[in-house]
Amino acid sequence: MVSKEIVFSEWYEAEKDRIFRLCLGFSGNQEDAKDLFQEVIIKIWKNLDGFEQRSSRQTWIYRITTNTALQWIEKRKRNKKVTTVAHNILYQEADDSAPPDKLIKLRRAISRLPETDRILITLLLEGCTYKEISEVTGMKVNHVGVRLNRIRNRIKKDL
Amino acid sequence: MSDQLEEYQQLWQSQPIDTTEISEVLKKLNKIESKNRLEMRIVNVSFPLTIGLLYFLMPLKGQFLYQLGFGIIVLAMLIMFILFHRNRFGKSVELLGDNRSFLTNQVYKLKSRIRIAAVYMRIYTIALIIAINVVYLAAFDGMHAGYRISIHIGISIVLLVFQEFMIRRKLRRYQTEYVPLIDHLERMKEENT
Repeated sequence: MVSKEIVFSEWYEAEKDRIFRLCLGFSGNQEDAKDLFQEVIIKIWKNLDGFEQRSSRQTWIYRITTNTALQWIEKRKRNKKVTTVAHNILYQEADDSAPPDKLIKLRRAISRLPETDRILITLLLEGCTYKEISEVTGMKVNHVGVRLNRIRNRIKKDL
Repeated sequence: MSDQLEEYQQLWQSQPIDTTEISEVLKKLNKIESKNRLEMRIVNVSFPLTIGLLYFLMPLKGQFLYQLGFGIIVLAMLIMFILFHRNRFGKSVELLGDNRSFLTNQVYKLKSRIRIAAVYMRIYTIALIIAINVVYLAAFDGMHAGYRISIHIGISIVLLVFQEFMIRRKLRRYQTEYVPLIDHLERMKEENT
């Protein structure tokens, strides 16, 4: 148990910000992102023994995060909550921590995308290559490129 | 946006993040883990305990028909117990695959839930009816044939109607809850091709 805690702590410190940003990009608001983040952390903890180094640690974590996000939609749909984020309640944060205007616009543009596109763009914004995105999503690399081009154009229009 | 990708990447990655301290996280995770372990132990102990209690309360233990009826009930309960155990405590290995495989798995799981209600619950009902009728064969031995037939038919119809009502209610709920969800997941899977 102790060694599991040590490994987990190291992973948590290294990846928590990235995981949270993915949750934020997917869910569209801080409150839901926190819930989703918590679920992801529990799943990483439960499955830590299952990490076999066949993929990189980051790909493994991204897969758990994005799959948990997809499961989260399922739960919300079952609880009859709306999955598309209401733009007027997006990113309500305290004034002193209000993000720059550009970032707000970017977040808003992402939140208007379909769920699978939100995953693609947030992975790209995290600096993943097309190959890494393909490993996380299961899409072919060239299809990732085509889709991301389409998403970028849509976001460009929104910005 | 393509020219500004780096700029947006920097902007995105520089967002202030407020996450919980690791010590707090570990405390919570250990608590969840021990709660799950306890829950699993309770479930694992309560199943054989229920079977034991049923056997203990059974009259005329030596009679073959009683034992046969008891065996059928245990078998039906065991099938439902395994399905529940797998669903509640099984490892979620599907989370470790890519999104496309995950979505395929989720669709399969939802369809399985519908199948459990539509098929396994009905098998369970039939097994229960057979078991009760077998036990009644021994219990009402010596009674007038007309009464015995009425009791057998009566109890079978009551059980069948009640279980069928419950199954259909569940299936109606699944129809409004799961079917649109399955369609949505299938659409997402298509997008991920």
